[in-house]
Amino acid sequence: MKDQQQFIRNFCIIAHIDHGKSTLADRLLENTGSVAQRDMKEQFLDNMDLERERGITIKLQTSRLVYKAKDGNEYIFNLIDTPGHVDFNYEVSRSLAACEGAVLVVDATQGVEAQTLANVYLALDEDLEIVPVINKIDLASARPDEAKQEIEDVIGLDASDAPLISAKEGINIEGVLEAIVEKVPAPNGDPEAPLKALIFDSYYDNYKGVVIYTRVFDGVLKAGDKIKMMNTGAVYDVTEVGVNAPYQTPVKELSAGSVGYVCASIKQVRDARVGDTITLADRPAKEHLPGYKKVQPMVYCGIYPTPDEKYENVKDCLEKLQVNDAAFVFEPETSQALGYGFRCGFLGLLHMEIIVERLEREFDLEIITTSPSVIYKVVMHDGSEVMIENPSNLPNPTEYDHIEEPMVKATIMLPKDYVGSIMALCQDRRGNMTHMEYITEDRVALHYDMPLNEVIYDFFDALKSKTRGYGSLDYEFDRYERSNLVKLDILLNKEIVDAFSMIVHESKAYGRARFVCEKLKEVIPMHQFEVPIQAAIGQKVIARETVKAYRKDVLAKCYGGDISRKKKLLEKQKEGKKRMRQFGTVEVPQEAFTAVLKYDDNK
Amino acid sequence: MTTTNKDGRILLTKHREDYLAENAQSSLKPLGLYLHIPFCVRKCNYCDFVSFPEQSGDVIEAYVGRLCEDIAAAGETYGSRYHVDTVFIGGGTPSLLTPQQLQRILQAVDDAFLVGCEFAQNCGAGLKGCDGLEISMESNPGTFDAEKLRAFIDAGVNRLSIGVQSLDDGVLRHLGRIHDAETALKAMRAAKSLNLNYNVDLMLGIPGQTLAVWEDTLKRTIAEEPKHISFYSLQLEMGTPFYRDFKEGRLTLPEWSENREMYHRALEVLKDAGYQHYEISNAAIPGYECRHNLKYWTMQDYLGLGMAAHSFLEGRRCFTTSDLKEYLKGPAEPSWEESDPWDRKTDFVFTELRLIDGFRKEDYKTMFGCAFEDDFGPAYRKLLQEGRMEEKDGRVRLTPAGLDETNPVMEELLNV
Repeated sequence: MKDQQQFIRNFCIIAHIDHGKSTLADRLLENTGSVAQRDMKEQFLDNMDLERERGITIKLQTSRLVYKAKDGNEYIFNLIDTPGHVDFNYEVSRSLAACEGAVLVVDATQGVEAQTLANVYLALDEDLEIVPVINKIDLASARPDEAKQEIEDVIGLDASDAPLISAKEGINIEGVLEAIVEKVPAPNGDPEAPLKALIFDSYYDNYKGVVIYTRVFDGVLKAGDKIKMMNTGAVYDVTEVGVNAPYQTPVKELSAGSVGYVCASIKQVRDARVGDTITLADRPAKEHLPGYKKVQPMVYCGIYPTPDEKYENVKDCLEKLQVNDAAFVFEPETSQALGYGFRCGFLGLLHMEIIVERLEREFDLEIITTSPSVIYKVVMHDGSEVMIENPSNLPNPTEYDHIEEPMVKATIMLPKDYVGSIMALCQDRRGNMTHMEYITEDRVALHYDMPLNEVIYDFFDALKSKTRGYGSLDYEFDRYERSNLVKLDILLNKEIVDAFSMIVHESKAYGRARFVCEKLKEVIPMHQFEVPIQAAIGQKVIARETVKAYRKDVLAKCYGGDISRKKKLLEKQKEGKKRMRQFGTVEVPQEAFTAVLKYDDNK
Repeated sequence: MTTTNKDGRILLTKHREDYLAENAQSSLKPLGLYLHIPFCVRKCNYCDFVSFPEQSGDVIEAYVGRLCEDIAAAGETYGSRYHVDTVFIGGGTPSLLTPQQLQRILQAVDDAFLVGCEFAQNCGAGLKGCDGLEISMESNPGTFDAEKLRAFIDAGVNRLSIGVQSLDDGVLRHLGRIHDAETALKAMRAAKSLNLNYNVDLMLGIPGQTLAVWEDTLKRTIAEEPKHISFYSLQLEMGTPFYRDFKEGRLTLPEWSENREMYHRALEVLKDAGYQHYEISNAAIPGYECRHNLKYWTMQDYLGLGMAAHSFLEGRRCFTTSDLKEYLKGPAEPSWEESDPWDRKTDFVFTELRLIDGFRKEDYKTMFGCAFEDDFGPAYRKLLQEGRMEEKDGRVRLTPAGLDETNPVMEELLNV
């Protein structure tokens, strides 16, 4: 049985967005004759826009390829893909744990980027063998030698024999395949030992229930087995095991060293948590694989149906997403301003944007999202702690002793020309630089200690804008820290609109207050009466704007095209309010909720 | 095919004989046809209509082609149930079209529908502006001369609406109009010289406009003897330069009381000159009311073709795309609005109360099977008491006080 394992290579691909990961994956599949590239592409094409826009890498499907190497042997390659973004760090680390090696793709024109580096460090933590590859050598601006040097300087890896390739042009794909055979170690599990299999991914299928992707370390897994999740303790009967070759193909068994999928009539993705260990119920392993942790949401926001959307529709769709996403949580909440909706928790801002985007694009929902907030720890006078996910729930200042906010360790990589403006940006966002290093002559890594609440606001947009897209960001949660925070309320026509309430650092309150008032003044239409917009801390108003009154009493003209529109304008007192929310008597267009969040270059 | 009748007026006649013969027994219902031409030389500062300035001749030509296709398709769908008795070519600035393009469009109408004449005699209004078939076209001064107008008439147009807005050069510049007062006067005189029935659009409550300036515009317009005058209060629409400027304090409007004064002055001056005020912002020499627009205010069927065109057919409303590219791509289903019986009742009240004569309670009952008071009782009684509505000889209508501030009145009724 050990013999069989020596022809298996389990690996992943690490690359920065646009450095050619998906293209290389396509080429590997093509070159091993596994599939026409078209078929594979369809599986992730839907998310490509999002990926490009936000610099995240959506998962490719795990695939099994067969490669006939120059040594004459046939090897089974399991290509395990990892999500690239920092929000999904934990999932990344579990995917990496399923591999013995990682192909590191570096763009010969761009060099190493922050997210790449973060994932390389994760891979090194998991003791993976790193196989560097220099991509895009066909481009005129390629500097392969510099890219190699960067890999050696920054990561400390020998890159002298890294294959020089062009995934796009199909140049030297063979070199990558051979390097995988030579450098990535074969798995060496014990097929006779009790079953130990790592869950590194799972998704919900309408017919099969949850489909688990797993790496078997020890033992054998087959249909009919009664399995147990070692951390959650849940027990299931296996209905099917198989491999992706690249379509799901049932097999008799998955033995030590293999990668494949398992179905066991599991109803929710959260019942098969990434990182958990599968063992056999009647012959359990002594201990589970290391590294299991339950992921916790870090960022919250409210999601509300617009007046045209049904609450039940939103609920259904959130449930559908949750079945497939163990890290996404939601619970009902009520807002005076927005009515019935949900408070939703996400791993990070990008995770949030993906979910919101999917609700809008895939499910065609019309929703309003409120300002994202981190979770604040409120320490009461008696020492008890309350976690606050919704700013409007913050207790009265007399009731608590102090507030703590989450801090992150942030790494920013950027060309040296932008260091000045980014240091100013970070300082503005209450960041403390811990250290700075020159990666190469032109590229710099800045390490900051920063409040998460500043990162989730519009930091990423500002960074991209100020570095013309060349800056990259990575962050991880570090600790809670006591901070001087206040709740900023927004009042329209003297009434608090709870959906606009936010918690900000005292030093930022005036700036934010002015910004929000100005933005709202732009987007709120004129009414028959003056509309004061105020920002207040407690009873104290710290910023104010006014939307002028405009008397529109005469239906001066009205022809065929106007009838419904004009009639509806007059009817909205009763119900309509198309795409508008009414607070008191002030109409607030939906765009107001996003307008107050947008990064403003002129600010 | 067109031909001139003995009064010098123009009729589409291809089917005339057939139509008269058939219509004696047929039950073809009358239909108003609205055709939207979304092109302008330039966008005015107050305008929020769907129009596109500075389009190339190719785009306009392609649009005309698409419009003719839509007309033909509409003929297939509706031609067996309706005859067309009014055509309104609106915009935009339809007078930017070449006479050949207009000819193609009206030919398409003639080919697709029975275009009818008899309706006018039956409706009892004694309309004189046209002989059974009203073909109106909107126009802007500066886009045509007498020669081009003659060609439009030859193509079939028998009623012209001229967007004059003001005869004060300062006011015109402020509005962002492409013409001055002199050009506007020329346009009116061209229509008059061709003995064409024409309307003039005027606007009041404009920044920089005083009561004296308004009265001067009105009187000089009347001197050109248009059969019909529309007078609107300027409205700030979201998304227009005027709206932004006003909101940000860069634009000052005449006071509300001054705006109303202009309106009241207009009513007096028009009455003295023999015009009859028949709708909130429309007056005409008796018999020259715009029959097409009357359809909007009396719940009659109309079909809008082209982009951003609205229809009201057999109690249902629909509209076409406002996206020029999408429109040019090819035929598409219009978007139908949902409506329930209450919608139809409020539509009725909302539109018919715009007429100075209001509506007959009897007609309401015939149409909906219950009394007007059954549906709108509380609001109606309140408005009667406040002197904003009145009832006379079985007709319900707004009082002058009600006409002054129609929005609050309509709000009361719609939210009963």
